[in-house]
Amino acid sequence: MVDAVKKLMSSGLEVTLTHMEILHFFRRNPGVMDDVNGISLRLGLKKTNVERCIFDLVRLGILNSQNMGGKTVIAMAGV
Amino acid sequence: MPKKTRSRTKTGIVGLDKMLNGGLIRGTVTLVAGSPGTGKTTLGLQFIYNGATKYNENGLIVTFEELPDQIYRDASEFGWDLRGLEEKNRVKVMATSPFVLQQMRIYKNRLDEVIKEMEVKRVLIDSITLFKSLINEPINLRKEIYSLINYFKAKGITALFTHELPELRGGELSISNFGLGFLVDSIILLRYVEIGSELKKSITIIKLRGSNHDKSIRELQVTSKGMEVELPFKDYENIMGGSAFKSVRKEVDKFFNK
Repeated sequence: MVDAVKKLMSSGLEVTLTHMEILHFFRRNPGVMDDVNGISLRLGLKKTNVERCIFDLVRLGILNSQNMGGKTVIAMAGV
Repeated sequence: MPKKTRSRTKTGIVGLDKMLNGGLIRGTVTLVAGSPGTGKTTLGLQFIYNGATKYNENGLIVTFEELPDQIYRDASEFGWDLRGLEEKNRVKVMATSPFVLQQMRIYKNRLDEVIKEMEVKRVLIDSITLFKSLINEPINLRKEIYSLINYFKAKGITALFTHELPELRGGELSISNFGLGFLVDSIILLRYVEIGSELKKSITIIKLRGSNHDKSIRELQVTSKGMEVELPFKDYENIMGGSAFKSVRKEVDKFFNK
């Protein structure tokens, strides 16, 4: 988690509270594998915000994305 | 020629294993059906926890609605450290959607890897009812669940699927409108029963394919250590109807035998 936060902070991205909420969510729930819609629902946050932040975290290698049946499924990287 | 006995997977819930004639039949799928709050998830978690701690069988929990965090917390109420077991690679809690699970099964994706890497022997799907959100057509829903059942069976895994029944108590009992009861090998039914202005929980084995089993309706207690199966509701009638009443049969027999 500390490494992920360091990576995010030093990425040059404009880090938002949503980024941190997603990181915290995956740290507490490393077994989550769901699409953006499902993750937004689980977080109780707006899909558009969550989607943008998730893809930032995927680009940084903190989260993993995979295409399954036409949907992008997100999971914690290395889990 | 001696009769070949089928290998059993103990749930670790003593009373339930006795009702099941020694445990669930290895490599089969059991439906744990019941109303909200009857203890379906707790029974499933206990099955997984006992597998990892008592019988050296690693387990996978697939949850659609609850998050792993919530599962760890619920389990810890009974003293079951699922997070610790996950760190030791004995248990894996996967929170996903029916769609993702379906895709993982079809494309032999992450699910296959987890089962193989961890040598998973027990699976809990909580709950199979959520597949209705993925597939509306009863015939297609039946096909999907049939495929999922066969997926686990082919791997020799003993699986528990929880299934929500909307009726709180009594009424006409229907497991599903798409033949779910026929697809699974065994059915454990958890229900509420009203006795003396109190709602008690009951447990019954409806089906155990290829094996004899206890047919009684027993009381189910949720204690600080998990589920405990008590004695049958003797001397009561209409248990399945939901409002039990004291049977007068004994008194009538006594009267006429005098």
